[in-house]
Amino acid sequence: MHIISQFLILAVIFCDFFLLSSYSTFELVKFAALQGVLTALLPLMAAEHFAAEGIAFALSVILLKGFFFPFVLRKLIVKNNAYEEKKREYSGALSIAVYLFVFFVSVWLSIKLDLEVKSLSWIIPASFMTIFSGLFLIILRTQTVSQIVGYMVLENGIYCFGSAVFVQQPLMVEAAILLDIFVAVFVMGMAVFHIGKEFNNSDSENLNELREETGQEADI
Amino acid sequence: MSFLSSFLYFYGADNFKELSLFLILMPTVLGILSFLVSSNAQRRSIIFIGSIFHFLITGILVLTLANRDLYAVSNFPVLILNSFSGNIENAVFLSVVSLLFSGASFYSLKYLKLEEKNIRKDDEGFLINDEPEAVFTGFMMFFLSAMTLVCFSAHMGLLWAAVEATTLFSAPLIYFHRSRRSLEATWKYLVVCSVGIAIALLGTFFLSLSGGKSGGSLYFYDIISQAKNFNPLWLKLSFIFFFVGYGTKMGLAPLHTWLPDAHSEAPSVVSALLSGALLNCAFLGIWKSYSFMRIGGLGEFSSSIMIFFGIFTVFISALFILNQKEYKRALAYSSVENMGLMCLLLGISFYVGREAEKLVFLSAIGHSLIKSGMFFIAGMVLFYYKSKKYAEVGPMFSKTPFTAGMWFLGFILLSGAPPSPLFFPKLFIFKFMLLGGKYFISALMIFLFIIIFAGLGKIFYETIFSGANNLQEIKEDKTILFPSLSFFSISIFIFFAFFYFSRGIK
Amino acid sequence: MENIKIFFQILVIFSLAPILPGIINRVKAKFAGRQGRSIFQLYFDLYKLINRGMVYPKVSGIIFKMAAPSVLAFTAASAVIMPFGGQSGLLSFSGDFLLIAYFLAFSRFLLILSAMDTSSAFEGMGASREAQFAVFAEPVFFMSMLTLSRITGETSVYGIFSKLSPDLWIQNAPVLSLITGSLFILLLCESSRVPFDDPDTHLELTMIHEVMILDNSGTDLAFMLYASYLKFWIYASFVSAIILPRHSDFFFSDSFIYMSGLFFTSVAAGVTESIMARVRLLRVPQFLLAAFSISVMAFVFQAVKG
Repeated sequence: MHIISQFLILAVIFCDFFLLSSYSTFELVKFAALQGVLTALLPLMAAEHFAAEGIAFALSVILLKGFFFPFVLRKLIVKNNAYEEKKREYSGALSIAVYLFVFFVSVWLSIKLDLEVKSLSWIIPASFMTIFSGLFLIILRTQTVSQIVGYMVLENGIYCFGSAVFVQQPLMVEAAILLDIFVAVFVMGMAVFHIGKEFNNSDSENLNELREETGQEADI
Repeated sequence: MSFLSSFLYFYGADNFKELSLFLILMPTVLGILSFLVSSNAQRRSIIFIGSIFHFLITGILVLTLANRDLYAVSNFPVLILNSFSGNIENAVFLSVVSLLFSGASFYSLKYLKLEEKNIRKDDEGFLINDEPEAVFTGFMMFFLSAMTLVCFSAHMGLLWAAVEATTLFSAPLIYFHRSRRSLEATWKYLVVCSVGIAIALLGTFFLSLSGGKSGGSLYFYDIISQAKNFNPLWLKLSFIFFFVGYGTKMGLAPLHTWLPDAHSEAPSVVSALLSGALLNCAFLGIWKSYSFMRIGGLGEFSSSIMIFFGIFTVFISALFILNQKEYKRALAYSSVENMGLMCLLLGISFYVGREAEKLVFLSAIGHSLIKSGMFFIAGMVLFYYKSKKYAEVGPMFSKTPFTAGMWFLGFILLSGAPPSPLFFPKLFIFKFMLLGGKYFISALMIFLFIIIFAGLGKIFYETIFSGANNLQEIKEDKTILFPSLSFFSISIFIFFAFFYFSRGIK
Repeated sequence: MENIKIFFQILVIFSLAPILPGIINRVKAKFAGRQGRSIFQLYFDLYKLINRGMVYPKVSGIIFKMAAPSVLAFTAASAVIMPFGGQSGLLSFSGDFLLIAYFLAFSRFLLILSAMDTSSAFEGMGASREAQFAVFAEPVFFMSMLTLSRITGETSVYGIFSKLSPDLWIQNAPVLSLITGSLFILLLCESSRVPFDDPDTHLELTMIHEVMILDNSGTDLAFMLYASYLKFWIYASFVSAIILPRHSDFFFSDSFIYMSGLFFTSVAAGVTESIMARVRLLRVPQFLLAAFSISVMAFVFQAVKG
């Protein structure tokens, strides 16, 4: 069990790598879903005994994050023709640099925080890395679908942190988080749908009208 | 009369839990109902009656605060509070939310009818195609439900979930006009606030961690009794994350960027609700975390953060108000300023005591009432003059005198001159700063308030007294502004009541 | 007895080196549904090449003539330092992996020089690409070796290989698996396999190693090819030692396990070559940087633990 969980954590970290460096929205969706499933499996692997409700909960998370969200997001991508992000020249090496930076910061943070987590010591850096990756995805990407994926990854990381640190999680809190992600992705998906209808593509670079008027701009 | 009030008081006290559940669930049911009902007029009356009812029952529950000793033990591990004692802020904010909703539903009775008939073009020349009213009224009710849940939650996790729910339910409301700009505003609102709330979730986890290595309880009762034993590092971290997370929702600088866009693009009813009710609920989260910090002995740390960011927020808002071209954005920045003031006052309360907390309540109530009244009026201004920029709004004094009078009154109240209830908090801040020897900061604050006054004043002066004088006659609708009138009079009343009861501030 | 073991070791290395790429070719063929060449085909190719005469380009100089045997010499020198089974190589001292790395780097340097000496633009292009890949590949090797020596506490390759054991795996599973991954990617890069260079293609856009030996012929070409087989053996033995660590202190069973590790590595390389396409040239540095970050992560994992 111990070794399996270690490999699961490694897999989560690798998912972060692919999330940061990939430029196809399909791949982003795929890896975010994979990561969601992995983080759902982690508490099962770490627990000493298998409780029925734990398994049921993990199954529902896997269904939600592994099947439902990718399905919805893929439909959105196809509808809005949002298959690819805009690439910039330096972006390949930059994404690896960002990844390494995120890795070092997470490791440093977890050393500083000095949590005693039983038996799975790498889960804290992994969850921080996932949180940062989600944040970077939201900040650095222009496609709105990528921003939704970034939010999902952020919540993955937070969920991972929660399941890492709390031995007996109040099931309600976890269920509340899940419900929150569900409704959030739903509402964001609706917004992206409207954006797509409005602009015929779902690039958030279209959303640049609202800004402060400094009064020096010429009135065209 | 006293018989009625004592009957209500005991009834409320005995049935607190049932009534609170009713308050939370009734708007949800009404919201679902408004999707199922077919006629618009029925929908509007549903929400109107629903919010009045909500307000009345809230009143009953708030009356139970009259005697605090009746229920000494408050909210032990049940998710929902079973009395307001110890949590006065919840009661205050709930009553503000309820009152605002009643006013907003009254306003929207007329507003939605006007919108139905009002086919017009927006800035780009596209026909404005509003959302179906069912969506609007339905989500308004869900929004009310979520905010009620925020005020009633006795568990930090539930508080978090309820605040996230308010974000999600208010997003369709912002998108009511279905234009590109409102779409952009909605998207920014969704992404920024959701990320903020996710950070607040991390803060919730940290709070639980501070209670013990394997996770302490998140019920208010448990935290309040245990907080002195909490691990200080994790408690501090949780406060920081709560501050950033809920502060994004509340509109503290530098996380306020979604606020002007969302408030200016949403219909005015929604802006009123966002400014008056939602920001307060987000503040509730910060308030709770702050009180935990104080019990845990880290009051100084948290107060200094709150004071600093309060001043910074006022500074930023003054900066941006000065050259605003649109009056709704200016009102939004004024909301930001007031949030900064509230944060500052709460931080000061560590040093001064309960006096400052009373002033926080005062400024919260005052701000909510005045700001929502102003937004209602701004909605009518937009409807009459069809432009968001103040330069294009004609002289209201001659065209729409009643509205102009209300607008002017609102401006006076907003800027904090007496008889505005916002006068006392500002005065108190000066007093505190001067007595504390921080002359530079008090001079800075006076300067900032003057800037804000000037920025707002320019807008209001221009709208009321000057502008293009195209010769259309505008038929004023006076009754729609009844909520604004009542809110303003309530605020003035509060001013005098506070003045009378405290005989000035020591 | 020792001398016999060492003699046996060197004999095995030098005689079995061409089998591994033969295994790769066979695996590729099976994947494609063909029967494929026999795994001993490369022996016949080498034999054929040795019996041919050499042709030198008119515009090449002394370097070109010297390069092929020297490349083989240095690669062979690295190969004999590599431990075999549970035994050390001919030489073993603290820090000898540096010597391995530098010998291989020097042989690469000679290869690049010889390619440029032919005055062919084509080969010069291959030389520049090879140099670029070398820049990104070196850090991967050193980082992996650093991590390995930190885990095992030894600084010589023989010491590292002898300390690797299943117990070490159980304690350090994530670190060792990460290192295996990065060393495998390094193997593919240094021996010019897909996804870095396609050994089957002879198209201008896609050749790297092949293009540099385009003008070699006869015995020289045999030397160059054999040197590349030896290089594959060297890197594959790193991977093999990590994935199948076994020390029963019995020479023949250890050697058998070691060689089966090499076999599995070649099969894995063949499978990778069959399922992946060559990565776009501009993305190769990114790929190598990814391998570098994997090894950095392994290092940090190890450093923080200890």
